[in-house]
Order: sequence, then C-alpha cells, then structure tokens
Amino acid sequence: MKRIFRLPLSRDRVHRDIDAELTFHLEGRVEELVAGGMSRKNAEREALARFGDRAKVEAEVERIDAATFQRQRLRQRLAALYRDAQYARRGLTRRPLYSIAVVLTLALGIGANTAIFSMVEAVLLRPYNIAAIGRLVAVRDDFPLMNMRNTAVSPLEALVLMARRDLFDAGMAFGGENLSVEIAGEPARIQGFKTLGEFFTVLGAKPLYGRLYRPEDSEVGRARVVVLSHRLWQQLSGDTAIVGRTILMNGEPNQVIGIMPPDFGFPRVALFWRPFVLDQSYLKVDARGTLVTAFVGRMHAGMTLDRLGVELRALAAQWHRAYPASYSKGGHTMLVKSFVEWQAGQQKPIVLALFAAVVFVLLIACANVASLQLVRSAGRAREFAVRAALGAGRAAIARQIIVETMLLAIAGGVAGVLLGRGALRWLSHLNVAQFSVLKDLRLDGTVLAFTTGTVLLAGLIVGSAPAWGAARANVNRVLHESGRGASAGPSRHRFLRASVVLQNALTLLLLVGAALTIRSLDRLLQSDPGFQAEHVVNFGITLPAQRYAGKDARLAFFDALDGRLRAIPGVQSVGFALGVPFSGDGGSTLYTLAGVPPQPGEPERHANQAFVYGDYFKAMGIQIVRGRPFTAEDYSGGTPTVVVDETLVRQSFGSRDPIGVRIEHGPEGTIVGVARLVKQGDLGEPPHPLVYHDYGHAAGYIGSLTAVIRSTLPADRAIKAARAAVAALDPKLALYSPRALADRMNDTLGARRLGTDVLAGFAVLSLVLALLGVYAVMSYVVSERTREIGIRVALGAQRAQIAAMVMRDGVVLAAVGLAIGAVAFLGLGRLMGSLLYGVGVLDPVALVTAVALLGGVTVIACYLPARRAVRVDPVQALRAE
Amino acid sequence: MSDDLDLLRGTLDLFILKALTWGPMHGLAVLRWIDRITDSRLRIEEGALYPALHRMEQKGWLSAEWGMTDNNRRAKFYRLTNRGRKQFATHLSIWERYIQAAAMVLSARGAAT
Repeated sequence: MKRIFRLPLSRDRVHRDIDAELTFHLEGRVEELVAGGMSRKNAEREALARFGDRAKVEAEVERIDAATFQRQRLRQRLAALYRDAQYARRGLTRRPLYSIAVVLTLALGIGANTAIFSMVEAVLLRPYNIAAIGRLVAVRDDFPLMNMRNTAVSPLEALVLMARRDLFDAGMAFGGENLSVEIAGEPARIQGFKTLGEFFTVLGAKPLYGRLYRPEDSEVGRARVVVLSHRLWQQLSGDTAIVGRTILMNGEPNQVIGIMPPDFGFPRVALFWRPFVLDQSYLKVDARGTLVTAFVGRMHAGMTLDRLGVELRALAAQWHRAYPASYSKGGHTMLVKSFVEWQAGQQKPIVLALFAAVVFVLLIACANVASLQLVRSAGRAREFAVRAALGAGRAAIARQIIVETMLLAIAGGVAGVLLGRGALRWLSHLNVAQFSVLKDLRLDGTVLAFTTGTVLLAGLIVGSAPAWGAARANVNRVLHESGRGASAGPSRHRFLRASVVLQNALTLLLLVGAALTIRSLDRLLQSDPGFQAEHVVNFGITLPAQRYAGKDARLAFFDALDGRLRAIPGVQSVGFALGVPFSGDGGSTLYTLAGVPPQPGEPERHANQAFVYGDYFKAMGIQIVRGRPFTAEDYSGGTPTVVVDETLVRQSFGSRDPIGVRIEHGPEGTIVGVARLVKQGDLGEPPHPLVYHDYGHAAGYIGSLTAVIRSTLPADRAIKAARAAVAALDPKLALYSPRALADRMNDTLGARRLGTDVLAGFAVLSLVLALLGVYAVMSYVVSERTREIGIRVALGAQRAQIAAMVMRDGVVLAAVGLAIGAVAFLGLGRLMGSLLYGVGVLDPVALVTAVALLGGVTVIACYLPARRAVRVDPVQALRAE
Repeated sequence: MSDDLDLLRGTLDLFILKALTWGPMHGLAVLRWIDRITDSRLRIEEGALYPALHRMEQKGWLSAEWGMTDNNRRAKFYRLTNRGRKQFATHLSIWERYIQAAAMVLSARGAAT
C-alpha cells in the first residue's frame, strides 16, 4: 500500500471521497461476482442488494464526516491560537520591563473603569435591588411663585394620588422622623420613617421575620406598630423573640411586628418604619407642615412617564380650580421623575462626570499602549518580514500581533479587576454624606461583564493599528533595506502623530475638568456661610410631650439647661434654635408685613423660619447688622418679636427701615433686628429670606430645639460635658446627633470633595500617561532619524538647530492636541455646569492652568529625546549603517 | 439462507476492530475477512459498514488514509489507532462477560426456587 493522499480538508473533498469509497466497494463486489460466473448485470444488482440503500448510507456518512471536519478545524484553530499565544508569551517575557509597563498602564485604565462603572451601576442601573424598579415613579410638588421648588407633597395629596388606581398599581409616601429609643441602657435618637400607603408593596419588599403593615395599623386609636431594620434589630437584641413585643419609642409603646432583611435599605438611613397615623388635622389641603418626602408609585401596566405627566397636569388643574388659594398662588405643578432618576439626584452628575473621565483615561491608556506596540512592531518589522517570506500569511502575522496585544490586555484586565476591587473596598469604607451609594458598590456580574467588554475592546484598539501596519508592510522593501532601515512607513508615522494628538486632547479635557471642580470646591470653602462654625458643637433635644406639657415646663427646662451649659468651664456662649444651619430642621412660611405692601416685581413673601432661644446669635457668631438681637425680655414679654435677615429686608423693604414693622402672618411679631445672611444647608445655595422667631412665644407648640455651644473645648469634651449636663436635668433625654458644626458643614461637601479628588487623580494619571506617551514616540522618532541627524551634524548643523528640529515636531503635535482638546471642552464642558460653583465653564484660570501644565509636561517629554539627538556623534551614527 | 444469522446490534463495531487488528484494510476487505472467517454465515447489510467506520474514525479509534490496493486501485484504508486498540480490548471483555451471562441464562434448567 502506498500513501497518496492526506485526510480530506474541505467539504467538497469530503463529498468526493465518500463517493469514491462507496464506488470502490460496489465495483469490487461486482468484479468478484463476475469472476464467480455471474453476468455483469446480475452481479451489479446483487452487489447493490447486499449493500442496501446507497443514498441513505452516503447521507449518513457525509453527516458524520461533516461533524468530524468541524471538530478538526476547531482543533486546528485552537492549536494555532495556542501556538500564537505561546510565541507571544515568550516574546513578552523576554522584555519584562516593557510588558510590565504596558500591563500596568492598561490595568490602571481598566481598574479605574471597573470601580467607576460599579458606581454608575449602583446609582443609575441597579439601585436598591428593587424588582421592576423601572415602573416606579416619584412625584413632588413645585411652587415656583413661592420659591418652594421641588418640595414635599402633603399627606392629603399623597392619598389622592394613591386612590388613582388607573395610574398606579400601588402607591406610598414617606417622611422622616427621629425618635428616642433606649439602646443598651442609653437613650439614643434614631432616624426612621413614617409611611403612608403600601410602602413595602411598592418597593416589593418582604420581611425577614414577622409581618409588614396591615391597613388597620394606621387607624387612629390603635396600638402603634413598628418594623425594624436589620441594623436596629441587631443593636436592640438580635433575638427574633422581639417580634410581637413592645418597645418604647419617645416613651410611647410600639409593637414590633416585623424585621427587614439586611439588604433592604430604603431610604438608606432608615432604622425603622412606622405607619403614618392620619388624624383629621392632616387631611387639609394646606397641611404641608407634616412633611412627606415624596409620593412614590408603581405605574399601572401600559402607563408611561410621559402619559403620567399629562394625567398629573390634568389633576393639578383640578386642584387649582378647587383650591385657588393653596395652589394657584404658588403656580403649583407636580414634578414626575422616574424613581431611579429621583434617587440618583445630585449623585448623578458627579457619577457621570467621573465615568466620562474614566473612559478618557482608558482611551489615553489605549492610545499610549498602541503607540508603544507600534513602535515595538517597527523594531520587529524585519522579524515579520522574515516570517512572511517563509510563508506566513499576512492574516497570520496580523493575528499574531492581535493575540499578543490581547494577552497584554487580558493581563491588564486581571490586574485591573484586582485594582478595581481594591478601589471599591476603599470607597465603600468612606463615609460621605449625600453620597450614600458608596455603601452599595460591588463587583457583580454586570460590572465584570462590562470589564470583560472593556478588556476585549482595549485589546482590539491597541492591537489593530500595529496589526494593520504589519500586514501591509512591503516584505521586499523591508528585507532589502539595511540595518535598522525597518523605517516606519508613512502610515505608521501618521498613526503615531494621531496618537500623540489624541492623548494630548483627552488629557487637556481631564485637566480642565479637574481644575474647574477644584476651583469650585475652593470657592465653596472660601464662601462665607454668615456664621462662625469653628469651636461650635450642637445637638438636638426633644422634650417628650407627656413629661413636658406646655410652654412653662419647656422654657423652665431650657433655662435650666442654659445655666448648666454656661457653667461648664471653657464655654463662652450658649443658645438654642429650631432651624440651626446645616443641622437639618426648620421650616418655611408665607409672611405679610403690616403697612409694607409688596413692591412691584417683588417675589412671593415666603421665608425660611427659625425659632431662637438664649444667646443664639452670639453662640453662632451671626452678626446683627441693624437693631438688636433677642433679649430675655423679648422671650418673656407680652408681644412676640422677630429678627429678620438682610435678604428679607432687601427683598421686601428696599431702603425702608424694617425695625418696628410687624410681621402679621407666619407666627406674628415685631421686627427688632436684622441679621446677616446665613447659608441654611448648602454653601452653594442661593439666598432666601429668613425670619427668626422668638421661642419664648412658640414654646407652646414646639418641643424640639438644637442646643448650640461655643467654647474653647475640643468638640468631644464639649459634647461629653453637655451630655452630663442634660443627664443631670433629665437622665431619660437623648442628645440627638451631637457634633461639631464645622464637621456638619464639611459633610455637605463630601460628595463634591470625593468627586473632585477622584477627578484630580484621573487628571494626574492621564498627565503621566501623556508624558510617557509623548516621550516614547519622540524617542522613537529620534532613534529613527539618528542617521539623518548625523549627516546634518557632519554638514555643520548647530546643536540648537538640531534640538529645535526635533522638538518642533513634538511641540506642534502637542499644540494641535491642546487646540482640539480646548475646542472639545467648549462642547463637553457645558455638561459639567451643575457641578460648578462660582466659576464658569470657560473659566480662564482653569483653562490656562491646564494648558500650561500639559504644555510644560509635553515640552519636557520632547526635550529629553531632543537632548539625546544633540549628542549624536556623526561618525558613530554613519558608521552604524 | 434462512439459517443465516442477522448481525446483533453493536457487534459490527467489534468485528471491524477485530478485523483491523490484522493490519490496515479497506471496507470491502473487512467484509471479505468476516465472510471468510464465518464461512459467510453472517448476513451483514454491507452499507452499514461505512457509517460505523466513519464514526469510529471520528472518535479517533481508527485513522484513515487513501492508498493503492494490490491491483492498483485507489481505496480508503483504515488502521487501528492506539486508542482504538484499547477500545477493542475493553469492548471485547465486556462482550465476553455478556456472552457468558447470556449462555448461563439460556442454558438454565428448572425454575427459580
């Protein structure tokens, strides 16, 4: 037997081979039968009869062989891929520094993307783990004419919305409440929520133990019930026996009916939930004081956000007609947002800005690595040409390069995920107020899928340019050129230039963005809040109504507390207020002024309000610019007095003297002084009128005040002493949230600060990458021009001329990049608007700083290779050829 | 012909493997070998041979090559691979145990107690 053919390698060949094999069989049989004496015709019939259905056999064999063929091809491809990967691995491990640099660059880009994407996911894609969260909407009120923008709905409005079963399958509303509970023998004030309607149904939540509300739980006169968060349950006992028992909250019995699982946390700060008990006093159109944060509904099937908006406008129009005093005056409308959008709130612009930044960083990293690979592949042009000459197809060479960069990308991806995981762990340990999403970050399937996609994309981007270049290289030319003559073709140079331009443009975007946020933060930190927060601590005190019924009991308590706090050594002044800035309480009201009719164009007379007792203005360091602050006589006198702020004066009085004018609506009182403007809860907020009422006349209906202590003591010692003073008066009273006022203010900047820090980090990273990228490309260009430089030097060119020649190249590219980046920023910068404070998007300082920084770095990156060029020894350079 | 035996299921593979233990053969040669050994007592539908051969080739028990027969004709020769040899040994021992058990059943006397 002689071998003449190898295995079939194409489908067509498979078919022909089977035919030949079967024909051989049948002919063999026929010959055998004929030799045995049968006629040829009979022999053929007999052979076929013994064989059976030839067509069927042929079809079956063909099917088997097709599968075999597929498997073989797959195996061959995998084997080729494996060989490529092995080859690439050997190549990469031979240059460990290069490989590590590339992997690290990609890992930084990919890791940053992983971390920031998980933020995007937690804020915008998967908040709260609520089933079908896309169906949830939030409704809030807007009274533009009263300057009450995006405000709470009233309980009555929430009930009306809940009744609209044509719009919502289920609806609920909720608002915060702070109650005193004894935890481990100590009174504590904890944050919970009162809920209206089908709170848990809307959120699709189930209890871990016990049950959730029933409709009768919110009826007046029934025993109060409470659902505990997992966290509060752990603090209280961690024992399921608590379900069904009664605990005291604000001294009143509440029956524990259920415990929520640990992953349920809406709102994130909630420690407990209680059904809102609605008595008649809440069911008035104007009962807006009992704040409900928002109405949240699960939209009816087939309902869209747009159609819901139309329906709610119609509903609002009905309210306008029925209650013009409550609705028309303020220009009321209802704001509808998807629940996710509403919750994302101010976190959204920060997260999106960071995501955009991180994508830029990755693009810079990719451009960087791509040029490194291209430069390297230029050095390997000879290697590829030899392989091509030895019969490797262009596709095979391109595949080889893609495999190599994929290998780098995958290594970068693995390292990047590890980096990203570290970053997430770090982020989730930060306590940033108003950026609660940090607690929800995790590296789940979606994030990993995103990262995998990023890695593949990065590998393709990085690999495609050198692969394309290598596949197009002219084998003959490369092999004929001498020595290092594997000079880059024009397309390679074009790519390197484009890469430098792109890196510079993107880096400029990041630098300007970071500079703008840094300047905004700076402006905020330097802005004057109107009071002096240093050396001040404050905490809330709520007097339970049973033990402190009525005005006299309350005033007696606060007078006594005032005395004890003053007696603490180091304490300079003490005051009390409801509505202390940055401390999250206080209300607002419409007001009228006796004898001062509204001026033309004056906005609705609406003011925030605070109730003040003791030496509040002194303790806070709020300057009284006209008249006088409250005195003890004001608090106990026959007629109530008020202090207004300068915004109210400017708005309602113009140049008239406000002192002695009576405010007649809101709690009434005579104006005795004018205070400086203070920021209420956000350093960036626009000014809004504020009325300080005297608590002496309001103690009958207000039992909660915040104590403000100015002292020379460190905050923790001041708080400790204050706690002892309170306990000496009433051991059952809890201090609510005792803290330094400066810390509270700082908290409100937390999200902004974090965003700024991360953005600045990305900007620095991209600056370093750009530096390395430009340096690598310029070094390559110089090394390629060594011969030319040598000739020029030999012909008498001055060193300065050589340096200028080399640097001009890089600087021009960088300048083009800067120009493109600046123009792009004009377009993209507008998206940053909501993140900025006190600086415009086109802030010249930020732009100039960024341009100068990047320009300087680029010049350094070009100078180093230029210096090397200057030192070229013409003799050496020419002899090397 | 009525006392010719139809081939039992699964035994064809075993026969092919056995035939190929003598060396590479084409399909027709395998059949001729079986005919010769059994004195043509087995009635095999010859077409069934080829799916069996190709399937075993796919499994890697056989390898196939085109070659020339003694009278100079192109034919596809099959040869046992090492894997095929091992398979044959395994299947043969299973088959022998099966035959023994079947013989015990079929030659049993008397009902179970």
